[in-house]
Parts: sequence; C-alpha cells; structure tokens
Amino acid sequence: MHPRCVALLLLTLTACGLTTPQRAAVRNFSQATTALGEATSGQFVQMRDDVIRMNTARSELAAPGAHDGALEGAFVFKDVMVRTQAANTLRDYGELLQALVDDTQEKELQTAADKFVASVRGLPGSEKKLSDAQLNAIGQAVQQVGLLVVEWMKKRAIEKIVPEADPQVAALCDLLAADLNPDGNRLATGYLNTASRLRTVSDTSVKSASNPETRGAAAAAYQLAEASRARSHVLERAAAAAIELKAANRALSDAIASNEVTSDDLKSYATTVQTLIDTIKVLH
Amino acid sequence: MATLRQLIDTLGDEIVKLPLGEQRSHLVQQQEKLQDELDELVQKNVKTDTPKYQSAIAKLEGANQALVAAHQDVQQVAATISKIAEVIGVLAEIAASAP
Repeated sequence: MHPRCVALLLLTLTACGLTTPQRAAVRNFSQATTALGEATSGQFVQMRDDVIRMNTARSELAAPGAHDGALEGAFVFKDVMVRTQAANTLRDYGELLQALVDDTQEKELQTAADKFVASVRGLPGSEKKLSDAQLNAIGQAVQQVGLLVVEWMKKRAIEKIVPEADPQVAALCDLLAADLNPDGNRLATGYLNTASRLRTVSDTSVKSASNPETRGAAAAAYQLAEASRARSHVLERAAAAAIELKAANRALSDAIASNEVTSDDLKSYATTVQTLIDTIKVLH
Repeated sequence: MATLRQLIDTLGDEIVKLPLGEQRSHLVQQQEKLQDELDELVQKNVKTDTPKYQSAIAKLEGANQALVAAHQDVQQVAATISKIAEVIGVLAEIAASAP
C-alpha cells in the first residue's frame, strides 16, 4: 500500500477512538469505581476489627461466662475475605478502565487487564458472573490494543469490556450494598447490633462499678460503642454508593454502545458520577 | 416503619435513661434476647418482608412508644416488659423456622 494511503488510514482509524466527552465519562467512572472499591474493602476489615474490640470490651465488663460465641461475631474471616475480594475486583475493574482511557504503556495495560481477570477468577463461585470464555475475551481485547492503531483498539476494548463486565459489576455492587446496609439484616446490621449491646453493658458498668479502674474501662467501652453506632450513617451512604455505581456502570455501558449519545446524556451521567464520588469521600 | 435493629437501639436509648434497679435489669435482659434474635436473623439472612415479621416489629414499636411515655413510671415500665416478651417469642419462632 502506498505510504500516503497507510498514513491516511492510520489517521482515520486513530480518529475513530472515543470522543473527548466519552473519554471523560469513562475516566470519571473508573476513578469512582476504584475509590469505592478501595473504601469498601477497608470498611469490612475495620468493621471486623471493631467487632472484635467491642466484644472483647463487653467480655471484660460482663460476669464470667456471660458472653458466649466468637469474638468476631458475624464477621467470620472467610466471609470478610469474600467481601474484600469483591471490593478489590471493583477497584481492579476501575483501574483497567482508567488504563484504557489514559496514555498507558502496553505492558501496564496488560497488567491491569490480568489483575482484573485474576480478581474475578478469585471470587467464590456464587459471586462469579463471568465465564472463562468471557474472561479470556476481555484479556484478548486488551492484548489487541498492543497493535498499531491504539486509540481505535482501545475504544473497541472498552466497547467489549464494559457491557461484558456489567453483570459482574452489578452482582458485586448488590453484594456490597446488602452487606453495608445498616438495616439489611446482614454484616452491617450485625456490626451495629454489637455496638448496641456494648452500649447497654458499658452504661450499666459505668453506673454500678465501685472501683475507678472498672469505671474507667466501662467509660472507654461506652465511647467505643458510641463511635461505632455513629458509623451507621457512613454505612448507609456506602450502601447507597454501591447501588449508584451499579446504575452508573449500566449508564456507561449505554453511553459507550450508543453512537448517538448526546453531550447532554454525558453531562447528566457526569453529574451522577460526581454525586457518587462525593459520597465515597465520606467513607475515607 | 422502623426496623428491628433501629427499635432495639431505641430501646437502648430508653434503658440508659433509667436508674439501676429491677425494672432496668428486666429491660436489659429483654434487650439482650432481642439482640440474640437479631444476630440469629443476620446469621440466617432471614427475609424481613413477611407479615409475621412485620407484625412483630409493629408490636415492638408500640412497646417502645409506651416505654418512652412511661417516663420511668414503674407500673407502666412493667407493662412494657410484658409486651416486649411477646415480641421476643414471635422473633424466636421466626428465627427457629428459618433454614
């Protein structure tokens, strides 16, 4: 082919990448996803630590034998690991999208894709919504970006990955939202119930203890209980953020799929993602 | 409608206002039983949209309101205790019947 034709073809294909508003939408979304993944992963670990501390404090104040059951309460290690893995998978998904819209080197892009695929593979069967074939296709879509016409291939990779990952992202968001909901009768409810137990026990001890040492320990336990109870608002917002992220991924999928997406659509989407980012900020 | 977790917490709000004594001890014991039931519901991930569950929650809400209105009146607090006992029974049944 004539070198001028090749140059023209390359120019045409390069121009067929994501539009600037589409790129901005993907970038905003990927940042929000990464932030939510990181924040929620930390939430579960902190909640488990808090529950152990609260139950330990309650045991110390209670009569011998009054507290049975594990100190970790509802936060069984393997269950917490599943939630952490779910949150990490969301984070890795966000990082993969980020790598696809940024000026990323081929090797880094491949690493981001491999990390996301490995994260999904690490989920327990009940939470895994992508087949091996789908995961291989995601890996391949990114591999092809290493070819000559980068912007065009990146767009194709995003068009492939976002809708393909949608059921997986939705399932992870549902799992996190249910567990973070203070009244969902799952992990967050167990956490707040532990705080409520400690408040009553420590209040009784503060009022009944005759020696200053016990009273001091009871007062510290009361403070711990109150600080934990106050987290119910944060948990509520975290659950809401997970639900918003699910909706945002669906909207992004539509925005990428539609060639007729208007700048108003993208502006409205950007507002949704900004709300999500603002919500996530309170989790840190 | 408030949730079981919120109602147990509200009961705690009233308990900490009460002076130490028999009535308070009764309420503390009942709160512990309610908390045990809630832990079991969490563990079994029991559905909360059943009529039986909703009816138990409505009863507990009524008992809590009565407790707030009792203003530490011993007779009225005692009446509240028996109302809460009924709720504990129903929640125990729900938790026991869950797989």
